[in-house]
Amino acid sequence: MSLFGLGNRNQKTFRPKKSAPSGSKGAQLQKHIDATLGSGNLREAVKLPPGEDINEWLAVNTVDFFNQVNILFGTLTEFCTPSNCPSMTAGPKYEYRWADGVTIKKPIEVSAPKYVEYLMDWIESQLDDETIFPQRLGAPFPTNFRDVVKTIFKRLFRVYAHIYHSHFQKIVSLKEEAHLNTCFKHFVLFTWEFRLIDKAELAPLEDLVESIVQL
Amino acid sequence: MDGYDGTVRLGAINLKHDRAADFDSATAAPDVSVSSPVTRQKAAAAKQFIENHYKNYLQGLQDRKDRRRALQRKVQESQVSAEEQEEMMRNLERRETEYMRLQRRKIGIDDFEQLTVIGKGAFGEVRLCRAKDTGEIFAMKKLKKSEMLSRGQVEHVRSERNLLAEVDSRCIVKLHYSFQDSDFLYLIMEYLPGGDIMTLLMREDILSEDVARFYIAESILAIHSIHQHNYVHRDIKPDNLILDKNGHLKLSDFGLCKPLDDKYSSILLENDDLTSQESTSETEGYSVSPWLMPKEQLQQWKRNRRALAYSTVGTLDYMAPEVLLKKGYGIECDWWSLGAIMYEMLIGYPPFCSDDPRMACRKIVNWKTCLKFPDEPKISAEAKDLICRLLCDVDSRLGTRGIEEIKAHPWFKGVQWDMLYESEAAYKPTVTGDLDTQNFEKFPEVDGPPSVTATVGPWRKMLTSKDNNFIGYTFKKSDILKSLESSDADIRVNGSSKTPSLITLLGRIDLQDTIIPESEQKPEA
Repeated sequence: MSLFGLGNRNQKTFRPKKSAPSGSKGAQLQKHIDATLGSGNLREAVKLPPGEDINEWLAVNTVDFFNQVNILFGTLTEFCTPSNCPSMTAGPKYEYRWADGVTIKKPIEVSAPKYVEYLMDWIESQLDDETIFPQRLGAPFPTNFRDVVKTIFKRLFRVYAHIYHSHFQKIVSLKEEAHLNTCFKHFVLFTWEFRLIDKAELAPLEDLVESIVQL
Repeated sequence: MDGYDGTVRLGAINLKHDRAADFDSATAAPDVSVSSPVTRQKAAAAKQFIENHYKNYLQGLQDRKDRRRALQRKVQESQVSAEEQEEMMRNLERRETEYMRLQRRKIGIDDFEQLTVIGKGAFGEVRLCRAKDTGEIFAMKKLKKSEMLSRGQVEHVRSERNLLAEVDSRCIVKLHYSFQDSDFLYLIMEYLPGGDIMTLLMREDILSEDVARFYIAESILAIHSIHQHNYVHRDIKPDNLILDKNGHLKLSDFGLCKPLDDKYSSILLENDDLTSQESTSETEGYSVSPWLMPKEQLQQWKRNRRALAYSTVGTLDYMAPEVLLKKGYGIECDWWSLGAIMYEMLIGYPPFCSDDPRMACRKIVNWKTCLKFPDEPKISAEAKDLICRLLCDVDSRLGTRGIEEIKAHPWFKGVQWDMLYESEAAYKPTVTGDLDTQNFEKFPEVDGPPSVTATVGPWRKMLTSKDNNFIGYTFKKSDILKSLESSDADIRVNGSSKTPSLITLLGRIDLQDTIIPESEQKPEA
C-alpha cells in the first residue's frame, strides 16, 4: 500500500467513466488554445541548472507551480461552484475523487471546488512541513522527496484538466488564456523533463500535452 | 543553446477521428455573459502576478548563467591550480543552491526585531528593524490593509511594491523583502540614516548653489532611473529624497502613500475657480501682489511642514499643474516637481506654497502669474533660468525631450554626471552607528510593538476576498552577489544591473485574436 494513501486498485482516485458522449470543438476555441505569452525558451528554462541540487530545483519549482494554479483557479470561484461542478471532472470521461490517506483514507466523491480546496490545503501542508520541504539552510530533503513531488504534480494536473475542460471559455472571457497556457506549458515541460507524472494520468489533456512536448 | 528563441507557441490541436473530443460542445459557443467586478479584479491581479513571475524567473536563470560564466572566465585567467578552480566552482554552486532555498523560504514579521519608529502616518508607520538571522538593519514600512482598502490605495501600494522590486538602482532605495499577514502589508527596505532633504532644508533654511546643484543633479539621475522603467513618480518632494550615511541621495517614499483623488476631488471640481484670478483676489482681500504670502505666514508654513508630510492630506506644493488638473500627463510632471524643489532649496520655501491646499492648487494652476522671485536671497541668473524652464508648460519644459537637455543647462556646468555617486557628497549627515535615527523626527512609543502579533495566514489567504487585492505581494531580493563579494574579495561577479522590460525579455506577445494590454505601472504615491 502506498505511503500516501493511493491504495490498491479498488481505491483509485482516478476512475474512467464509461460510454462517454462525444462533443465537438470549434476552430475559434483552438485559436485561444494557441495563445501564450512570449515566454522565451521554457524548454531550456526547465532544465536543471549546472551544479544545482535536483531536489532543490524540484522544490522551488513546485512552490511556483502551486502558486500559479492557486491564483488561476482563484479567478474562477464565481463559476466553479458545487452546483455548476458537482464533481471534479475533466471532460466527459474522467472524474476524480479525493483522498489524502490520512484524514480521508477512502476516496470520496466531492464537488470540484471542494476537491480543489482539499487539494490546495493538502499541498500547502506538504510545503509547510519542514521534514519534507526543509527551509533552514543545510537541512536535508527526505529520501522519499521525489515521490511527494510526483504526487503533488499529479494532483495539480487535475486542476488544469478541470479548468481546460470545464472553464476555458470563462478564461477566454477574462482574457487570461495566454497566461493559463503559458503556465500549463511550463508545467508540462517541467513534468516531462523530470518524469513527474505518468502518461496515463495525462490522458484528459492528451492532445494538448502532445502538442507541447512535440515542438 | 543559451539564447531565448522569442515567441514559442503551443502547437495546434490534432484531433483524431476515433477519439472523443477533449472539450464539451457546451464550451464551443462564445460565452457573452459578464463576470463580476471581483472576478475581473482577481483575473487582472492573476495576470499581473504571472507576468511578473515569468519576467523574474527567466531573468533569474539568465543572471545565474552569467554569474557562472563570469566566474569560469575569472578562474581561467587567474592561473590557479585545477583543484582550486574546482573549489571555486563548487563554492559558487553551493551559494546558488542556498539562494534557491531562500527563495522559497516563507519570510514574515517574526523574522525581524522591531526597533525605533522613524515615520508615522494615517496609513501606517516606518520603523527601524533588525533581521534576526543576520543582524542586518532595515527600514520596515508597515501599511494597514484596512486603510489601504477603505481609502482606495490598493493600486498605489501595488505600484510602489512593483516599482521597488523592478528598479535596481543606486539612486533608488532598495527593497529587500515584501510580505503580508492578515492585517498589514510590509516593505522591508534599505535604511538610509541621513534623513531626508526636507529635514536638511528645515535645518539649513537655504542651500548654497553648490550644495543645491549637487542634490538637484543626483535627483535628476534618480528620477531618470524610474523613468527608464516607464514609471512616473508624480509626487516628487523633499520628503521623498532620502540621504544615505554618506550624504548621497536616493528616491523613496517614506512619507507613505497619500490619496490624490479622494481628498482633492472637491477642489478640482471648482475648475473654474482655479483659473479665476479676480474672484481669488476679492476673496483674499489682497491689494498688492495677491499671490505672495506674507513673511509671517511663510514662517508658519515651515513650522507645519513636517506635520503636513505625515497627514492624510500631505502636500500638493510640488505637484505639476497637469497632474492637479487631471489632464493627460507623462514623465514631464516629475521635472516640474524638481523645479519646485530647486526653488525651495535656493529661496527657502516652495514657489506656490500655502497653508490652504486649495490656494496652493490655484497658485500652481496659475503659475504664469504666481511664479515670482523675491529680491532676497539673490540667486544666479542661470539658476533662475533653469527654474523657469522647469516650472512652465509641458511643451517647453526641459526634460520633455529627454534628460540630456536638462543636463546641458548652463547651471550644471562642471557637473561630472558619471561620478556624482562616487564623489564626496555636498553635505555629510551626522550618523553615529547603525541604529542612529537622529536625522529623523522622534515619535513616542505610544502603542509600541504589538503584544499580540497578527497571525501569518496561509499562502492561500492571498485569494480570499480581502487579500485578493494584494496578490503577489511577496518579494525577496537576491543577495547572492553580496555574499559572493564578501567572501571572495578577489573574485568579482558583475550581475545584470538592469531589469529588461517585459517585452524585450519575453519577446513579442503572441495573442492571436486576443489582445492583452501590456502592463503599465504608474505609481500613485
